[in-house]
Amino acid sequence: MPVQSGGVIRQRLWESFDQPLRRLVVTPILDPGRQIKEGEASIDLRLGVRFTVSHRGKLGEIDTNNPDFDALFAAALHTYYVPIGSHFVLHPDYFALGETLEYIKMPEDLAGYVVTRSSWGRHGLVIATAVGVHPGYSGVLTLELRNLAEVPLRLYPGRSILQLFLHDVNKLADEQRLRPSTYEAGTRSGPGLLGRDAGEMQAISRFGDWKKHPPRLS
Amino acid sequence: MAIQSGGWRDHLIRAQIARSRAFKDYLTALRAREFSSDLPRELLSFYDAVNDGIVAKLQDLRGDLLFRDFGDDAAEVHLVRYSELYQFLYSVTSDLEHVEASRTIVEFSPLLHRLALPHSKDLRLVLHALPEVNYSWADPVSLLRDIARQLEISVDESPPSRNVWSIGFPGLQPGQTLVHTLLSHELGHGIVHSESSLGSLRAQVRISAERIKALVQGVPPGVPRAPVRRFLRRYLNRVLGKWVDEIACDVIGYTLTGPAFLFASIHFLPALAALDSASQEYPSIRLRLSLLFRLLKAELGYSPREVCTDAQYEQWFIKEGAARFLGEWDRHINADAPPYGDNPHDIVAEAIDQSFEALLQAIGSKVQRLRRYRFTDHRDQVRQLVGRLDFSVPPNELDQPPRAVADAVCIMNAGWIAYLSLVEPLSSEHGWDEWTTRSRIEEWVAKALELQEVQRRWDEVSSNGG
Repeated sequence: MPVQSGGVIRQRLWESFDQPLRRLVVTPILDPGRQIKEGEASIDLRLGVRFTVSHRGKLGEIDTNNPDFDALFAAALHTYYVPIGSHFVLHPDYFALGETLEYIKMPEDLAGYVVTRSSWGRHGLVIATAVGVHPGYSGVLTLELRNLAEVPLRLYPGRSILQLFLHDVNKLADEQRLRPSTYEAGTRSGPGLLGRDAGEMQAISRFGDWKKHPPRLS
Repeated sequence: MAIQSGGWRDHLIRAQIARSRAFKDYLTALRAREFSSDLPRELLSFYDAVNDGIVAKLQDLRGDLLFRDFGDDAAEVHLVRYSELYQFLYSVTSDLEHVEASRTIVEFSPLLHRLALPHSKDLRLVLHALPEVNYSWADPVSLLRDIARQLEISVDESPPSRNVWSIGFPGLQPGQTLVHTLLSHELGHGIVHSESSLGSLRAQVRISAERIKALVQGVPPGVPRAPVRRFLRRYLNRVLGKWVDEIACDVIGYTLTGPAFLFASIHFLPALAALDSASQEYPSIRLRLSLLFRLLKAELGYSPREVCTDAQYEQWFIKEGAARFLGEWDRHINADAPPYGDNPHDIVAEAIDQSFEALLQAIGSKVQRLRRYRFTDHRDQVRQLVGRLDFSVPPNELDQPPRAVADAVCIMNAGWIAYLSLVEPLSSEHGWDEWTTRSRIEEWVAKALELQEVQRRWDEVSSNGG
């Protein structure tokens, strides 16, 4: 599947208003010349103004199979607002959730993946682990920030920090619109909603219970 | 006879010093909090310095044997004054308990600054959450100085700025972005307060002597009428002054934010009190909404006192839902209004109603520097922004010309039109319930306010040499 070039991305952003199914939205693009370069095949995205960290003292361990996990985890989080011009310090081995400054809306025929800009990676910053952006996704992208270096890093909202690559999606002619994401149209980053995988959790928790769920004899 | 040290004066001073020291700890704890600007911390330092000044004066009093042991009326008055000043200091400080970035509406600070900028270049704003469902305005630095002056105490410490406005919003409803359009009414309080010439506004409204006479004639026989007349005049003038201030702030709010201000008022005010109930401080909600409708109709070119149809509104408000909402409320407020009665509040309301055009002219001439929102000028922009909300993206920029930054007030107006018209189609498109869709629209509007400010600042900074 071909990756979209800078020129095609510009067309999709600013010349497809009358074609809602093909329209790509990435807003704001503060500096189009630098963020979508001709000859390259990505859009640079910027760091947003909110950072969420957990108070470790409030959490014993993360039991991801606890149905109340999402609520318990959310209660132990704190979000910092860091206006553009100020900074957030990410200490070595520290984990924080950030977000992109840009709000994104993907058309049905494009998918994307995000990667840390290599200049940041060389300083030890790892940004995205959930790199896939599905067709039809809308909202800001949540960034999982981690500092793998030995020295604290100052992060400045507004800096270009990652790249979004876009590629075509092939689908069957009669295929329905893809299911909206759990995080659809959100304007703020937030913790994962593992509690929504309740069916999967229940199934896994039954694995060890041979008494209630005895193995079938073949 | 040996002089007895101590006594009740000494106890009183020691208690006040202990309170002031506890207050200092409170200030220190507040300073450790996270704020989205330096101003709250600067204000806390200022209050700390004033508090230190009070403690030093109290220590002096304590060392003054003449006062402590023999009594000294003048010094006793000082003690009462310092205590009063301290009480006020505590009340303005407690506002800053609710300024933390995570609890406030950071998207609104730049918008309010920009709206007030033509009026006051050196204005600094503190937005704080209120524990009640209300909006408020205060000028803590001037108030502190005024109170100190009236108590004949000098406050030598320097405040962070001469022009600080502290604006409160309902702390339990930070996400109700659209209703926060009412913050422009609070800016109005700041403007009325600082614009001394606005004090003459109440002179534009004349209370009919005939109505007062009729009211006095209604007192039971045997009750002397002259004192009743005097009391009524004083009362009516006091009520008139308060009401004219509120109406002037509504007019300024509407001037700054246009129809969004009327939408927000209709959503917020009727939840506070019955439509026709008035108090000494506030005119009835029916009167306030009715006057706002008159402003809107004058703007749209309709007769201000005529009740408009839904179709007339639809020509201007793009979507049927918003037009129907306005039409319904116009009929409810104006066509169903009861006639003015023979009671003091109705007499003041009628006087304001009849003198509104004169009042409007007087306010307009005093606040010419403010940027006036003209719905007609922005209709095309609002239409595009509603289209973006319909497409489920924040309306921070225009589609045509591409990347043009949207006006923040147009964003609020587009947000209201979407809120009143697009809930059903968006719910069905995304599979959301009504509540989720309404929250999403408010979030997109808040995000758009944040992003348009970033874009605007980017352009300003870039055009100043990168």
